[in-house]
Amino acid sequence: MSWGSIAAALKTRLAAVSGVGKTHSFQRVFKGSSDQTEFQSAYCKDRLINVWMVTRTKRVSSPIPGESKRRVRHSVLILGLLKQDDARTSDATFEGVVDGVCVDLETGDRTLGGACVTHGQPEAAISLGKLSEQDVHLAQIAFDVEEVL
Amino acid sequence: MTDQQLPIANALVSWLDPQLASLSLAEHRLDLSTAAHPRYPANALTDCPRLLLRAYKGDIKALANQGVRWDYVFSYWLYMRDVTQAQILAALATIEGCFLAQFNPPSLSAAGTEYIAPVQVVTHDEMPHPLGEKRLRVYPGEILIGAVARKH
Repeated sequence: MSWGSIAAALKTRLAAVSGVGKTHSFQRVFKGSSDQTEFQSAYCKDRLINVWMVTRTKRVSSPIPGESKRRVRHSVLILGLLKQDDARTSDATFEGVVDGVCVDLETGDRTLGGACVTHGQPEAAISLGKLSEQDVHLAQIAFDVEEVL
Repeated sequence: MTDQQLPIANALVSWLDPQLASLSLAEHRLDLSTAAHPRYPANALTDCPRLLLRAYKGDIKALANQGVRWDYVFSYWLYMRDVTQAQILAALATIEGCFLAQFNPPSLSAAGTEYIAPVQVVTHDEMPHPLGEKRLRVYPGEILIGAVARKH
């Protein structure tokens, strides 16, 4: 078990959810213009911003009483972005994808294919934001993942 | 744990272990740590069912012209995952039954016991996993065991 394998397993799970576009097991931080090839490669599917990224905001390790092992708790943050497009009712589309991601986490394999012991229930914060001057829908899905080392 | 209590504890685990195949234990051993029970296992998915033996105390009584008598208290802690109370009671009854079938087996007698028997069976409240997954709930059960050893 490791954070790398947990993030990779989450990326795989995200990619299987209907409506999810590009996926990454880490947070992309490309700052260039949206018409650059690098931007398209990092964030876009079919030339539209639609990206889901896995990162973490905290790592806490604690000894397990009576054992020679440690319990490691990762605070995971999944970031989802979709370009705003009123004509395509992008808000409704995005809400559906957020539901799909959360339901998959709530009902799917909690060991992430053996990458962790278990994970907690996801909490999603949904808002509007910007990515390189582009208006986007933004979802931040947070939950804890536990592994034993 | 005293020099006399340790061989009794080891003999207890060795004697009981082959009789508990039906419980499919992931772990059965003497717990030499000082960490308190009941305690949540490191990984309930792989560590349960687990059976840990703790040695708690040994009262010494000097008997006039009859040597010394030790009253030992052991505690067997059984941890099972995602079971009902009936299932943990049944598992505890399996362990208890081994003692009731043979009060002082030869291997324990050779380790110094004169008498060994369960004195109390307890089930404790379930221990939920902090992240809330139902199938990682662990149920602890305990069998207190009394043993007497005597030195003339």
